[in-house]
Amino acid sequence: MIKTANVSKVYKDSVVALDDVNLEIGKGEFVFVVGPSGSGKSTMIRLLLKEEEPTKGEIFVAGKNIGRLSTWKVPYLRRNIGTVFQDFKLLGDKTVFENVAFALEVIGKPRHVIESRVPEIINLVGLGDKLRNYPNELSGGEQQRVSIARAFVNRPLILLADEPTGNLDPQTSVDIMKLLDRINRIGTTVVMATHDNAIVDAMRRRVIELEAGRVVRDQERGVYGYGA
Amino acid sequence: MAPNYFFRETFSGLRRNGLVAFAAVSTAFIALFLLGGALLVGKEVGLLIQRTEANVEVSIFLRDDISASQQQHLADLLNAMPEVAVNHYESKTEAFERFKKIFANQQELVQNVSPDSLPASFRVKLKNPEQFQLIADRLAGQPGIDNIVDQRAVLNRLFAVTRVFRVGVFAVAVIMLIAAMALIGNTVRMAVFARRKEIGIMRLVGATNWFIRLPFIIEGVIEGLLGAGAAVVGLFIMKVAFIDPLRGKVGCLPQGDTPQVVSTVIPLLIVGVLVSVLAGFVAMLRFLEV
Repeated sequence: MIKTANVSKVYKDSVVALDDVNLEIGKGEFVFVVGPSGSGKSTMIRLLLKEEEPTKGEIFVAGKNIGRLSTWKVPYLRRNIGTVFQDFKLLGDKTVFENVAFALEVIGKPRHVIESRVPEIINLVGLGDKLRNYPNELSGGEQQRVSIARAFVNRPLILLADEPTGNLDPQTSVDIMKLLDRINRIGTTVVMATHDNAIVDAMRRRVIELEAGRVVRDQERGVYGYGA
Repeated sequence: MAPNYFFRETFSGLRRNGLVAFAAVSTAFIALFLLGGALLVGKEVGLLIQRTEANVEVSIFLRDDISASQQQHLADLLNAMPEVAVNHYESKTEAFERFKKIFANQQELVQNVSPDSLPASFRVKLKNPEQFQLIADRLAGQPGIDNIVDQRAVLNRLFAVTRVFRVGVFAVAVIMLIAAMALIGNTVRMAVFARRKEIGIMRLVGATNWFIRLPFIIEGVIEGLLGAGAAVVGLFIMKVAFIDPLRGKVGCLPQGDTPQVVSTVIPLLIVGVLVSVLAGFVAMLRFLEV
């Protein structure tokens, strides 16, 4: 589903964010990307979304070399990738329903698709009774559920989550992880960048550890760190 | 549905930047009003040229001491030229009659002039008024000619004045158009800035660039069209209030009427749309990258 071949990313002033990264993530996998701040996790996600170009190497998403993708096709790449962030990125002047519907609306989906699919997905994330609430009326965990619903409503092949539990307390984080696990079991490839060692240790999934832009560990059923 | 979406986004944008949008629309109005004015002056001059050119003559004024045979020789020469359409001899008496008609309301002038003081002349209409120089060259050196006057030269001086006026108005209109473009671009940029969070999410979930940009472009175009509409209305008001009362009072002016004003509508709308689309694109240049 995702493959990187000798990918390096060097920012100006020769800051090396990624250094010769070779990864292969299969369809339906659940992968943690761990490592300290500045180890290259976020750069990885930006490269997969083609928000930036690698300095060297090639990236394949869903079988396509995204380096060869012309600019006008990038939106269609992104329709296959759902994204979730630490800060939720919800629109404060829209309700839960409207926030999720927005993701379908702006890719031109017809009204009847929106009407049927949005309530369905909001039910899936467990917020069926909060369709008409605004984000500021929700807890952090609930807001993150809305953002997951928005990322997933178009049934993407891949879900990228950048520190999705970074702003949440441990119990809420566990609930979010259960939700991501459920989405993964439906068949979605999930890639999650995180600092949260408790979660990584509890989930026992594949762990890729980055350090200063290099892959220093790639382990099936791993834990956060050797020493942790 | 999508049209619904664009409509909603556009109008919420216009409402949000009310005052800036108003400044943009007024500048577009002034610019297009001046442009329309310049177009109308141009049409006026065009009509004037068209109507007078048919009547322009070359006047060959004769010396008082011209002999009958010299005069006959000149007449023969002119009649033989293929470029000459009509050749008419105007005697001193005829010249005086015409003089009296032209200056009918300035009697003291007429009383001070006798038929004898006006020169006789050949009044020549050319098939192509441009060929004046050819005729003048051929007649040069013939005895009995006082001088040769091309009426077109007189008219050209008038047209030169109007041309300068027209270029001036046109230049001001262009400057105002640039200002309008900057202001429309500014409202677009403000609208984009106000919605930067939405735009970020739209890009993230895979909205196409066109989908993201269109509401902003439409917003700019509506401002341009409002300006153009106001300019058209302004031109009609100008015509009814200031130009129509002049009709029949100042010589042959004005030549233009409603059809000429109507004919500026399409160009003004087109320029209004082009300017605002261009402004929208320039304003969003920074947001074009995906």
